[in-house]
Amino acid sequence: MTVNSPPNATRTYRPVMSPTWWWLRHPAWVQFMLRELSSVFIAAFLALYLARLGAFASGPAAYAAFQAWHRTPLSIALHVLILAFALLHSTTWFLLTPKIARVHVAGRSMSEKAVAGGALTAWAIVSALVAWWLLG
Amino acid sequence: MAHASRSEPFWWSLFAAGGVVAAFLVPIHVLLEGIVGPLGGPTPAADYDRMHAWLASPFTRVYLFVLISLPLFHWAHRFRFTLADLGLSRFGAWLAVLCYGAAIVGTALAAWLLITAP
Amino acid sequence: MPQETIQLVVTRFHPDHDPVPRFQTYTVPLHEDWVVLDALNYIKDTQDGTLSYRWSCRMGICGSCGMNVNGTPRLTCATFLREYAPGPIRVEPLANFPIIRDLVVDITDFMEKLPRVQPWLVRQDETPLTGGEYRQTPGEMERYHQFSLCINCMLCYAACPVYGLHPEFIGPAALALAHRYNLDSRDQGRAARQAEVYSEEGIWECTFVGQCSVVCPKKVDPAGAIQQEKVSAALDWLKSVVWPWGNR
Repeated sequence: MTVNSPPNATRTYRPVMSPTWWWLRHPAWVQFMLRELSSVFIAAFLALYLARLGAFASGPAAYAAFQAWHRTPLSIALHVLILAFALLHSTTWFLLTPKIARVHVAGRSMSEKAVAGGALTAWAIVSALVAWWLLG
Repeated sequence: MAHASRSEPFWWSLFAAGGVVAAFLVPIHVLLEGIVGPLGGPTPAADYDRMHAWLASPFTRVYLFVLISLPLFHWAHRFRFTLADLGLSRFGAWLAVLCYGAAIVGTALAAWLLITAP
Repeated sequence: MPQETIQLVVTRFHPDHDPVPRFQTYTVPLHEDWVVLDALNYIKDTQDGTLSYRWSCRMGICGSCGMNVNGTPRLTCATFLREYAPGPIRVEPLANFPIIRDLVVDITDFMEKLPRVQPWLVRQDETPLTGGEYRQTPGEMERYHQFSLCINCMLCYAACPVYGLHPEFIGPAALALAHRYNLDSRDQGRAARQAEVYSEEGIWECTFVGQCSVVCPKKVDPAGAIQQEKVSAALDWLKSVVWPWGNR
């Protein structure tokens, strides 16, 4: 909190936000911060994938040990947490898509709901294809 | 006088591309390889031999490279701005070096691991 | 039957007497058809003539009665007391601006930023008046129409934590207006706006919190405008890499 004295002699009061905890002051900002922090959990998944490739490069024994760790409750809990944030990232990303990409069909712009719905549908289809590929 | 940034469009493009890749692909991978697989489900990553067969295809290697590298830049960009918004904005340049640097290292590591994988 | 009432907790700040703002509580009748501005006018007329605030049209078009109501920027002429019953309602000046007195804020910063993005039709080849108007199809008009509805009420600046944290940020309304002119088929000023709009104080400062679009009383969607400009800037950049000889 500081008080400024601009040159025109009218004293104004400038409220200052807490540089670290400002986002706790509005529910929408908390949601925003969770959305941004989802990237940290996605990065954790990517780091684990690099570790997986590293374990694979080290041979069958190292890979078996890596997979054994994945079966621990700690790993399952961590992956549930990562999944929750990954889902947060995907839903927020696709719901915000219509704000970024304005889709015009036959000279008319599509409604935001239609674009977001299309993006979410595409996500479901891609997920199903990947699941089919990985489990097939 | 302000001037148009030359670097931001580049990092933002990587961020956007990585965000799309992560949004489409990461949840299903986490679900199947991090939760369903370890609980007994059949995924290519479940054991060494299946992983070996899966990685035999060049498509898999390219796919995994995209899956890892672009979302790393997505993280780097978001994390850089998040740290700046949590009170570290005076270290702006260092945040950029640290975050994008980590993504570049991760990308190089992914490329090396995927090229040299048996 | 006693008249129903509601409490307003209002920011008071007198530059000569108050080191920091304080709150003062007033009790006003809770009429079904009263908005927060009606309550403030009631207070000024019958309880406390020293209360200072800005207002003019009472119909959501002049953009001067914006205040933070229970922490969210609103046009007080379009915010009904009954939404907040039983109260109390916290009425504060628009966030992120210096407070001059009570609910009146200093908008100099916005007034200085707005012209920097040249929010008007910029022409390279000005045709003489005798040439007639610059014509436009309804489809060309539709592209920018939404972004032209801004009334400069600055609710979006009050809702923007990026502006609050980094005051050099050009901010939502000014960038949305730049986008409005960039999308206008009659305009040729996109290149001239680039230096400001595509600078680090411009679109790249935005982290897409999105609250500017939520609070906008005219549904202008500044957040969308800024992201769309990011896409344009990224495509420009890509073109300049793939085709460096091209006319930028």
